[in-house]
Amino acid sequence: MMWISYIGKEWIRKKIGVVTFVLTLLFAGLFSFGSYEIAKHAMDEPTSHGLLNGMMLMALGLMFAQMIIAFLVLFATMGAISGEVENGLMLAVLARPIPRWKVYLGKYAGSAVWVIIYSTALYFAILLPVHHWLNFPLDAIPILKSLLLFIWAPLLLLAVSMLGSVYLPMLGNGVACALLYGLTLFSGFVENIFTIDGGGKGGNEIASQLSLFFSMLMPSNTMLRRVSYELFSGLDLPVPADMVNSLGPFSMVNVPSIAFLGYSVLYLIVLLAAGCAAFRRKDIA
Amino acid sequence: MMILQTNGLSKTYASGTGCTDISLEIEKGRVFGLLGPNGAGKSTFVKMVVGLLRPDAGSGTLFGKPIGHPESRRKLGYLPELFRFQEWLTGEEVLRYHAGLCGVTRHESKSAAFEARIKEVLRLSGLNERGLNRVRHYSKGMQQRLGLACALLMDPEFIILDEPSSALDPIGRYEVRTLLGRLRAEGRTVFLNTHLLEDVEAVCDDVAFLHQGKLRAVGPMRQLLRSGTSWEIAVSGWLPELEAELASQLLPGMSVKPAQEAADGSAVLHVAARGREQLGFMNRLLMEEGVTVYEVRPVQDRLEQWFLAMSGETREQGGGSE
Repeated sequence: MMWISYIGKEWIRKKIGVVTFVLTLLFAGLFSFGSYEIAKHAMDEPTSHGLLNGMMLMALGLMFAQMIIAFLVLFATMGAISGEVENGLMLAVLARPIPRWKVYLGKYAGSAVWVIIYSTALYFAILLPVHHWLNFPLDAIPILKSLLLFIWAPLLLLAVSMLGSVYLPMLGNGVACALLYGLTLFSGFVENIFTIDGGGKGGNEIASQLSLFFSMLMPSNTMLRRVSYELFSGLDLPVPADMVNSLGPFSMVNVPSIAFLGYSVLYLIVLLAAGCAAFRRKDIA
Repeated sequence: MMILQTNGLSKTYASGTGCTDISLEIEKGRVFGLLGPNGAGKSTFVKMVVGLLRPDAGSGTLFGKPIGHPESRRKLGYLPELFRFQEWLTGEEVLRYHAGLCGVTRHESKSAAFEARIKEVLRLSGLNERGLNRVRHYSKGMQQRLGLACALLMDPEFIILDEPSSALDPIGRYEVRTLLGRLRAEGRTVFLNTHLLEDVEAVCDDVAFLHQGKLRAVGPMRQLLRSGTSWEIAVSGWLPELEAELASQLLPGMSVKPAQEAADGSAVLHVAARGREQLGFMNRLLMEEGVTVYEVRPVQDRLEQWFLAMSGETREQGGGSE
C-alpha cells in the first residue's frame, strides 16, 4: 500500500497524472469521433465489411493505446532507480532497515498498479466506442482474456525499464528502452507484411527470425497480436479468413503461442530477479 | 558495549580515491568526530557503514550485525551529505514514508503517538510549522533540517550525521550544536562527520583523522590534543635576561617564552619541548639558573591547530597534496 500511495502521489504531483488524463481524454474523444464517422459511412456496407472495419479500428486503437501506455511507462520509470540515485533521493532511503529487493519490487508493484488501472481504462476507451457506433459484438470472456494480455504487455515493459534504470543513467535508459520498443514494433510489422504478402521465402525467414529475436528480447509488443487474436477469434465473427488477412500489419497472423506466453511469465520473473540482484550489488556513491 | 566496529574496511573507486584499511571502534554513549580534509574518504567510510557502498575489503559490525545487513540499521539514524528528499511530498509525508521503510504500518503512522513523534522531531529540527508544506517549497537549510528530523524520527540509538550543518545559517548551526549536546546528554551514540571543528571541539569525546584515504590518528580528543609538545611552567626567581641565556642552551625543537611576568620574579613560561625527556632537560636548566619550578602543566592544542598539523604532517608523509 505504501508504494502504491508513494507512486500515486509522485505521478499526480509531478503532473504526470493530469497530463496523461487530459491527453488520454483527447485521444479517446478523437477515437470515438473516428468510430462515429466510420460508422456513418459503413451503414450501406455488407455486415462482414462493417465487422472488418470494426476489427481494423479496434486493432489500430489498441495498438496506439499500447504505444501511449508504453510511453507513459518509459517516461515515468526510466529514472526509477538511477534517477533517484543521481539526485540523492536514495541515500536516506537505502540507509533504512529495508532490504533493497523490497524497495525495488515495491517500486515495481506501486507503478504496476497505476499502469493496470490506466491500461484498463484505455482498453475500454477503445472497445466501447467501436461497440457503440459500429454495433461491434462484444463478449465478456474474450474481453477479459484480451484485457489481461493488454495489461500484461506494459507490465513486461515496466520490468525492462526498471532493470535498465539500475544499470543506465536516466536519459540513457529512456532512449535505450524507447529504441528497443520501436525495434520490436517494427520487426513485428515487417514479419506480418512478409507473411501476408508471401514475400521471398528467404526474406520471410529472415524477417521471422529477426522478429522472434526481438520478441524474445522484449515480448511486450508481441503480446498485442495475441490481444487482438483473443478478442476477435473468441467472438467467432462471421468474417472470412482472407478478409481478415487484408488488415495488413494488423492481421491476426504470427500470433504468439501459449508457450510464448509462458516464456513471457518467465521473462518477467527473470527480469525482476535480475533487477533485485543488480540493485543489491549497486554502489550508491 | 561496542556500537560500531570496523576492521580494515576499504573501498577504492575507479579514480583511485576512497579509503583504505579503516579500523575503528565506537562505544555506546560516545560522541565520535571524523575529521579530515576534503576528499579524505570520510563519506566513503560512512557510506560503507550504512550499507550504501560495498567494501572492497575488510569487515565491520553495527550493533553486532554485519554492516550492509538491513537489521544492522534497525537502530540507526542517518543524515547523508548531499541528499535530497522527494520534492513532491510534504515534510510530514516524507517522515511517514521513512517510517514505512522502517516497518511502521500505515495505521501505526496515523496513530496519535506517531503524530506526536512527528511533531516532536519537526520541533527539534526547527521545522515546527512547516511540516505540511511540500519539500519543493523548502530552502536548502530547511531540507537539511528535515534530514535531521528524518534521522531522529525512529528514536535511534546511534546517529550518523554527515555534515549536518553544511547548508545551515549561523542560527541553524547553533541549533544543531545544541541538538548534538542534547543527544549527548541523553546518552546517545553519535558519529559526526563535519568540517566545523568548533562543533567537534564542543561535543565530541573521540576523534579520528582521515587523510588521503588512510586513518592517521584516532582516540579520545583530550588525549590527542595533548600531543606532548607544549607546556606551561609556573616559576619564581625569573629574570627577563634568563630568556636569552636559556635559549642558547636549548636542544633543537625546544623553545621558551615568558607568557606572564611579574615584578616579584614570578612568571609563567610557555615551553615547547618534544616529549618528557626534553621537558626534564628544561627543568634542569631552570634549576641551574636558580629558578624555582612550582607547576608544570601540559597545554591543550586547539583542534584547528591539531587538524592543520595533522594535515601538514600526513601530506609530508604522503609526499603529495590534494
